[in-house]
Amino acid sequence: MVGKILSLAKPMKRLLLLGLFLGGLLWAVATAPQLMNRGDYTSLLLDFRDDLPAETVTQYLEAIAQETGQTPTLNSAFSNEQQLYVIEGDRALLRSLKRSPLRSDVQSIEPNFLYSTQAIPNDPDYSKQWNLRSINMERAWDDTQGEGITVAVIDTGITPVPDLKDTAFVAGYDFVNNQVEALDDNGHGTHVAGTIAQSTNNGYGVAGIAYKAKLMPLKVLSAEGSGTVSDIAEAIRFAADHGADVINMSMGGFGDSQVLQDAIAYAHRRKVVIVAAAGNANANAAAFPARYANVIAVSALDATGVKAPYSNFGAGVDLSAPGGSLGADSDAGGILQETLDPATGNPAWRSLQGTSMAAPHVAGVAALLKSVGIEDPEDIATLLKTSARTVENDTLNHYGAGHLDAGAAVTLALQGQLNFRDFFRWFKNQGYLNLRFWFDGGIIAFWPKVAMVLGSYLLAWVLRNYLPGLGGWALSSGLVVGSSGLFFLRGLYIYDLPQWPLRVMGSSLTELGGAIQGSAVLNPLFASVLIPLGCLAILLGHPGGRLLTIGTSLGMTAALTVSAVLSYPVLGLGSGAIAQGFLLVNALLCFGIANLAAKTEVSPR
Amino acid sequence: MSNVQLTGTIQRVTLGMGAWTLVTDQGDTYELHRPPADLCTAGLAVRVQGQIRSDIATLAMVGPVLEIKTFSVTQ
Repeated sequence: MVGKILSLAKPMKRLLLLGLFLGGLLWAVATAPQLMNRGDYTSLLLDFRDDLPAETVTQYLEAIAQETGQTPTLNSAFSNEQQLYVIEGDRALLRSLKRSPLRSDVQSIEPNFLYSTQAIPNDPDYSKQWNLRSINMERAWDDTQGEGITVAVIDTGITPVPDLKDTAFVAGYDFVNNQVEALDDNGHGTHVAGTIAQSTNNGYGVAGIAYKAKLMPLKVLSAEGSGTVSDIAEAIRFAADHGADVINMSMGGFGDSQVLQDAIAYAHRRKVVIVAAAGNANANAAAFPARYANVIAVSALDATGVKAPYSNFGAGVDLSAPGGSLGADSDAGGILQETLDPATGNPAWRSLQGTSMAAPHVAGVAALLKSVGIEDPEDIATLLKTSARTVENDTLNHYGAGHLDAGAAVTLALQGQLNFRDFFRWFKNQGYLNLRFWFDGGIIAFWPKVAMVLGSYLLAWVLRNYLPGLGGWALSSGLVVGSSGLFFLRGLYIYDLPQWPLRVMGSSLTELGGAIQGSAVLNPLFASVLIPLGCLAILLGHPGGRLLTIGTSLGMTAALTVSAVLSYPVLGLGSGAIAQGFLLVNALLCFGIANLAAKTEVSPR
Repeated sequence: MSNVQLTGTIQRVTLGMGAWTLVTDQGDTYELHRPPADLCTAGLAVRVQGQIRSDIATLAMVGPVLEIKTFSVTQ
């Protein structure tokens, strides 16, 4: 008995999972456009009926003005004929207007959504960040902003200047002064941190690359901008031990150090991505620690994409990124971030140049890759290099694998990954750009469908508990067809093809009567016990047919019950108590048929 | 840590937050580690005695790090 019940659990589980999957799919589709496009609005649109006399409109406008203290104005000089008005307001006003007597005299009252191009930050000086444009930043931001990732900045410390106000920090350490607080007294570390995660979309200053990542300040360089190899090695180990995902080292020296090398190997084993600046001596080899294995060495580009004159190149260089190049009397070619003036300690905007500025671009993009699920530092390095824009004839290895491309790197990382964003993008592209099909998620009453699927499952579960021997795909198919149908198909429209075959396939048996005409009214010939009765008569002699009959009957029991509870209209009976009674009685009869079929023994042929 | 004697010119480089360097008569660049204040004048021709600090990393990364022991202005 127990064994039988256990053997039944499997198909039931499959059915439940199928129901949940279909429900989840539909939910995703139905809500995705709203989630993706949920806009802001500060005003409302009032579209009065075109045939409404001007005096009546004026009366309404006056009444609204009295109520709210402001008079709606015509949207534009062309709105007079359509009687389209705009009024400043929020969600509360929208709700109260929709409930007011006004609603009978308007075509619509709706939010006046602010449309904006996606992924362009509102930071006023973003336009000066040629460096972010040149690494194709906006495309990457469509998918990630570095959520959940911690980037350790091993440098001169970080001071939380105003444009780091919205950026998250985790505890770091000051190895120069041996204290927990690791504030900057030079300006370099804060600038580097800004490139990685400057607060973005805050209406102030500039943008950062992985602005939702957390920063871990590790101070190893003094106010003069220098520090010892031992402190750097300890900071690397600290970062690896305290949850850093990425380490940025915008510093370098000319001495090889086993201590430093060991620390890097330790962090690498702990899956930390390590990025370092190649150095600024215009020399034919990366400086230490950039030149060590397992460190991504970054050379610097100017605003035209050419190696900056100071940047090291050659041996050890893995990748190039914007480091800027300052003119004699202009700082337009530098990398602009908010940092501090070391002389006063006050926040200051500085446009700097150096491979120090190039490395954090790569560290930021590495954080983005990690945030979309790429865990292994080797994979991240490979992705960064593979997605880089290659430079032809780079015989001196000025550029490593090429120019950093954040957008291409994130896109490449997401390839082959099944995720919601990818699905949605595919959906949007297929549906709206190629104009081949269109999906209307709103057409399907989602929760009633879920109730029907779950209801039929529960009925089957109840029946199975005292009548073991029920299961298999015949039962499951019957349950799906009887309860909900492949309901997501109802909302699918293929351009230039009739929709009724999809409607029919997407309908449960209960709804089949109205499916061809596209009517939501239930046909009593279908929404009744007649179909289970027919199944019983035709299929009962066959074991599979018996299960199909049971499944169909249980499915229809659930569908009819939900339809009755929600007062769905029935042809000829309306949507009142009579229709509800009809549906409920038929639901009970369907359950009776299921019970009867379940109790009937069928001898195998 | 090797001791060196060098002659050259003091220069300020604008890499990162900037640093003081000695550009030798042969054209090599050394980054000065904590230079004395009276040495920090761009264009100053000097003779210096000091030590190369390979255990130090810097943010300017423009050349070997030179810690000055003594110096004299040559013009």
